Amino acid sequence: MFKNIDLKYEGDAVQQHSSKIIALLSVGAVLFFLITMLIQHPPYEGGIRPFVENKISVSGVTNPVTAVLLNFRVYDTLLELAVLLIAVIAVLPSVNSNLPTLRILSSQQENLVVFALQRWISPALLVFSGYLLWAGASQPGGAFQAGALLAGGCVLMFQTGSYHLNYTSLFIRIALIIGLMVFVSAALALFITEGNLLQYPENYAGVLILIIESFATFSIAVALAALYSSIISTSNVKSRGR
Amino acid sequence: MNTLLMYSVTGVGLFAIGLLGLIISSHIMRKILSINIMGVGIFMLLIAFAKQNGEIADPLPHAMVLTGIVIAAAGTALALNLMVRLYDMQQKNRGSLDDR
Repeated sequence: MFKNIDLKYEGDAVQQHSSKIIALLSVGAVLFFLITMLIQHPPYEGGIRPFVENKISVSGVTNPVTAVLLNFRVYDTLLELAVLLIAVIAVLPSVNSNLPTLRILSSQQENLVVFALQRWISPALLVFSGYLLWAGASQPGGAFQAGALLAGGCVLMFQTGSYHLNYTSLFIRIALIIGLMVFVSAALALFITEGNLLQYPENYAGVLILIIESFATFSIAVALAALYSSIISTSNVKSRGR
Repeated sequence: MNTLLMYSVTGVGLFAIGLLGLIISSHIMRKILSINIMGVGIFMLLIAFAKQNGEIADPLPHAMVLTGIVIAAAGTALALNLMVRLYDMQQKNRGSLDDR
């Protein structure tokens, strides 16, 4: 389908083979340099593991990765949600449409495999992402994994073409920003009560992390689904038009 | 050659494969794929570095990789959307040229 969007240089003085050999040689040199550095590189003695191990009891969770993500370096996570939102805003259609938020179209699906897969797997994905979110407190898991899984389920559902979400409707807009909104309002509330942005009080750290993570999961899922299903919808429209 | 070194070298190798693909392939889809492969190589390197000293891994690189995966997915989707948009515009241009 996308055969004609090469960025080929079509002017004079093109020597395909020699340019490829030059690229191959220079990348090989970079690889050699990096591997030599890796072999000679002494183990790094720093790291924040001792700090995390000392402070994990006040972080509200028992999984060190979640503690870093949502307590010790929570600014990274906050800004990441903002980056995700900006990517979605760049992709969203600039025209408001008045279609309802979710339309269930009559089943026009010839592909039985995709159809059956989304019928059977979507509920399981929903349950499993809820489990991942909950497990993040003590095991590997958390908002990002749960959100990504949920988004994968959504993309699978939209791939059948029998569901259509209107991403400019008010509900979806609120869903997109609510993760960041809860995060920022928690930060501001903690600034007023504790004196520092996002400094959790010891007793409520676990609850606050769970609230922030739940809303973040929801927003991440909707954002990733919006990003990927906008590609699907454009390509579907095109193939139907021909 | 210990396990960690093997993982790091694999990560660097993936990075180099992605870099080569980014330079020599002209199709945009391949370029996007190459950037993703480069990213995966860097994630692998970070994960390998996290366990460099001691039995328990350092949680900071893990958190960075988690953040990075979501951002990489978002960036890829943005790039794919731009690619589709570019294709549309080129098709439109071709159409108007044919009409003349």
